Amino acid sequence: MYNITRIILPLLRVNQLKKQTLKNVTTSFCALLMLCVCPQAMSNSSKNPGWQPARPIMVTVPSNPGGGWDQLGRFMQRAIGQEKLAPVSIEVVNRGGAGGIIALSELVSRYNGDPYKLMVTGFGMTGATIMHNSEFDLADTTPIARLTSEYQAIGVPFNSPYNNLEQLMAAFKKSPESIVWGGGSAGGADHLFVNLLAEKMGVDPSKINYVAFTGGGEATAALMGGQVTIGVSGYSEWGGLVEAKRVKLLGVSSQERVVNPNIATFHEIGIDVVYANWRALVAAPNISEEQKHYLIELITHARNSQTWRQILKRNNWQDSFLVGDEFARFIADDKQQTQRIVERSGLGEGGKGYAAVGPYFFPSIAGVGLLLSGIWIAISAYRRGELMLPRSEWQASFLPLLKITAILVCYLIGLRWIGFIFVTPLLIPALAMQLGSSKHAQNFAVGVVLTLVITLVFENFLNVLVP
Amino acid sequence: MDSLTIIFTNISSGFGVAATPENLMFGMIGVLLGTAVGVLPGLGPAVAISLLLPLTFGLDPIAAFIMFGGIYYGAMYGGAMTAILVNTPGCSSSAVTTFDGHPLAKSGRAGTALLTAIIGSFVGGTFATLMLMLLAPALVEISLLFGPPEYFALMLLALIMVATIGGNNLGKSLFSTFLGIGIAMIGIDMQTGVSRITFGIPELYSGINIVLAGIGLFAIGESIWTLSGQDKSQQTQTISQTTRLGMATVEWIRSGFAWLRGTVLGFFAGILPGSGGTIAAFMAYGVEKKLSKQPHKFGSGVVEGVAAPESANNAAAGGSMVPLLALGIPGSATTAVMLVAFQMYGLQPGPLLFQNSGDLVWGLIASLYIANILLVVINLPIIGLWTKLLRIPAGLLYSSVIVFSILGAYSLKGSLSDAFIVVILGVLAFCLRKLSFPVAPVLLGIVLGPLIEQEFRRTLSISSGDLMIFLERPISAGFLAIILLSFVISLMKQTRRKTT
Repeated sequence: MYNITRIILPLLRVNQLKKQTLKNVTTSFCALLMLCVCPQAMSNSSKNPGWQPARPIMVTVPSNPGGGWDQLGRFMQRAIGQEKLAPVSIEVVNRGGAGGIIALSELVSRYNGDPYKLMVTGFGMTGATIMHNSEFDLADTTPIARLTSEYQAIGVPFNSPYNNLEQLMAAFKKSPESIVWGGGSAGGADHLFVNLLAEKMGVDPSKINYVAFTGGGEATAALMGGQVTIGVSGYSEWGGLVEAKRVKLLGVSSQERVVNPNIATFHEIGIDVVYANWRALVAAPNISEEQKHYLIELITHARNSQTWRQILKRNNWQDSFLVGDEFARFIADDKQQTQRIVERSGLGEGGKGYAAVGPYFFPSIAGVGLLLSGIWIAISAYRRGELMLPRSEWQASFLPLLKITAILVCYLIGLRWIGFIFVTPLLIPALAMQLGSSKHAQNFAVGVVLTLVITLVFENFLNVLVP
Repeated sequence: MDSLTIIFTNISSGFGVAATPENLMFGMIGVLLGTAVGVLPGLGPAVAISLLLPLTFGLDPIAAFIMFGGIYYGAMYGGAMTAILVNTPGCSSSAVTTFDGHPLAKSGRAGTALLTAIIGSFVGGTFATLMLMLLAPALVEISLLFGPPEYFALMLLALIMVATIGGNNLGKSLFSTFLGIGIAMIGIDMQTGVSRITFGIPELYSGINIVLAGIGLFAIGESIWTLSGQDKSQQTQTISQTTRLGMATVEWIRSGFAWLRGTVLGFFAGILPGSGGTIAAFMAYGVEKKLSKQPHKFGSGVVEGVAAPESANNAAAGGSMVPLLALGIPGSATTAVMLVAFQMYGLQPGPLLFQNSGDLVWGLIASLYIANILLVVINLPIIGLWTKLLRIPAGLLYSSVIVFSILGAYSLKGSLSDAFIVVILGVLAFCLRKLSFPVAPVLLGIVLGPLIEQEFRRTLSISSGDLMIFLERPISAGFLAIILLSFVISLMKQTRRKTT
């Protein structure tokens, strides 16, 4: 049902618009409203064991494709799909940026009350919301279920002089500056883990020499090349590098030796650090109890399935299933602990950790460079008497620029408040007019056709919902 | 010789696995889809592959990967096509192709430009696959020799080599480069987590990445430029519509060298994680211009200016498969998605992949060859069709480009703030062009600036603040020596010019 309406709707809207009479527009709106409401109403009346979804459920992955969150979202999609647990399809979209804050604020503000939106989340997002003083945090969402936990593992290059965890930690305690850690970006799970470790060992956070890399892969490459002393990453990300004799894994952050009997835990050598990078699903705030119940049931079924068990095993993920209120409590506790680590390590204000070059060094270079080259250009232009463009030139170029910019800004505002389907057919003739094209009707028709084609292609094949 | 025989047997069995009619069909779908997303600004191969992931669950892994390979190579070529025809690169790695590709198209030789681009893509892709097959284990060792100091020196070399390609006024090129570096500093700093130059706007936290910069500076910038009547040839429709497809013998020779050099350079840039196609294309163009006997003609439509970057970015795509397959390390957004795809099939790329699932790896390598051949077979006959795009009136063509660009920017994160950012960048590009500042160095600064910065800071953290580390390590010292040498040579040239 929904798919059909999705194809028909744009057709309908545009057809109506063509006629351009107020009456028709109103009827189209009515039709539109009907079609929007219909599936919802039908599903509510048809079955009544609580709430059932009537259109695809969208799982937002708050990072770019690839990486742990993306995997969780896509594997969940696979488990639900393969086991046919939902009457609708599950779609996965990526909304990367700012450690997940962009996706979080979208979920909380834009999708408030929308039961068709789930978001992957995890430890890293808690850290990001604290570090960047985010307007929203995970407590603003509806918790569904914590699914997996991944212990952190630390490794050294295969030819490293360190052979066991005690030796390595003793060296770190004795002269922390001499140990170079390599892991993911500052404030992420890897970095916070190192800070927690230092806290428990009584090491001054300002002496931690932590080098951040883009994602786990690059840090692992740097470790194998012997660029850093210790690599820190999720256990599963070490893949086959241990068997291939590229790295030695020396420690893992679980309490007992659960993931691998050959790797020591910090706990057993007397460092009280048990730490897992958890990953979970949350829903938009203010959804009804029935909707929440449905989503929790759905995820619970998926988690209990054979497919999910295989996925856990294959990825070396630890099952750490927790739902509803208990999960909400966990989020609150986790936030407290994270807050403490973040504050202690001075993250957010630039970090207390060791850095030879601060974050403002390069922006300053760019600024000075701009200033100097600007002065140079100005002087040489002045000498040639070309400092100012002739008046006619200004008018010939910047007036059209101003017009086009104004049109584009109006277009963007229109996109936000009116919608792609309505403003795009107007944009095309407006822009074409700038080049003196006076075939407004023809241009408008082209605009309508283009809008139609784009809407169909983007929404149905490319999975991009037009604004 | 023995190991070669083994490779030969392996690859022929790989072809046996891969070259079924069904797989060829999936390969073809991949190439078409890849070309399509390559044409659309903002949508790249990474997006296309992740969209297809759920559809490929039921497929045989080889069928899925032959399709992914087709998408990857197809997208690289699709980006070039719009770069040549409309001066708006579909993806950032094709930005360089506009420099000479579009002038060629303007002089009525769009077919020639597309021909050299497509053969370049084929040469780049095929050679990269060949190297992947023969040398992957050895190449991995080379890539591991590159730590932060080596990356820093290499990126600095690339920046200095390429910064002047957009124009002949050094001051203005410098200004543009610094502007790009400055723009790239916007967002959260990876090393410390502080937000820089964001004015507290959360939408700016994730920064202005290459994709947004490519769309804004090139696609939207060019559209505004044309629509505001700056480009007289567009306005009066004098753009020649005769499209000669062939190349003169001398152009074949020049393209041939450019393909080879671009391929080698691109492949090695691709092997290094995090480097990628855009940098490879810039460097290949820079090298071609440096080595050319007629460097002043670059930018006015020379075939090697298209051949080099296009073979380089496809070779880089192939090169990035090396760390993926041999170490399980994704070096680009696209290979990151491919890694997820591998894991979905229960395969762990890495040193053991060749041992544990040899059949599949050789099938995969064979499928990369096939995808490459399909790219040519499908796209060569329709070059003429694409050049018809130029017959669309400029007003309609470029206003559609704006629509696609804004939608592409929006689709990245589903936020209109990115659409605003690309419009602002487009206006910026217009102003720069009007004041005769080159635009390409801005993109270069945005691409290379963060790499140079991060690697420099990583290096000094590793060495506890000692700058000598750059000279103590042979590879970085070598790159720095080349930089010094090029300065000395250009200085000598200048003094000689002054004395005569």
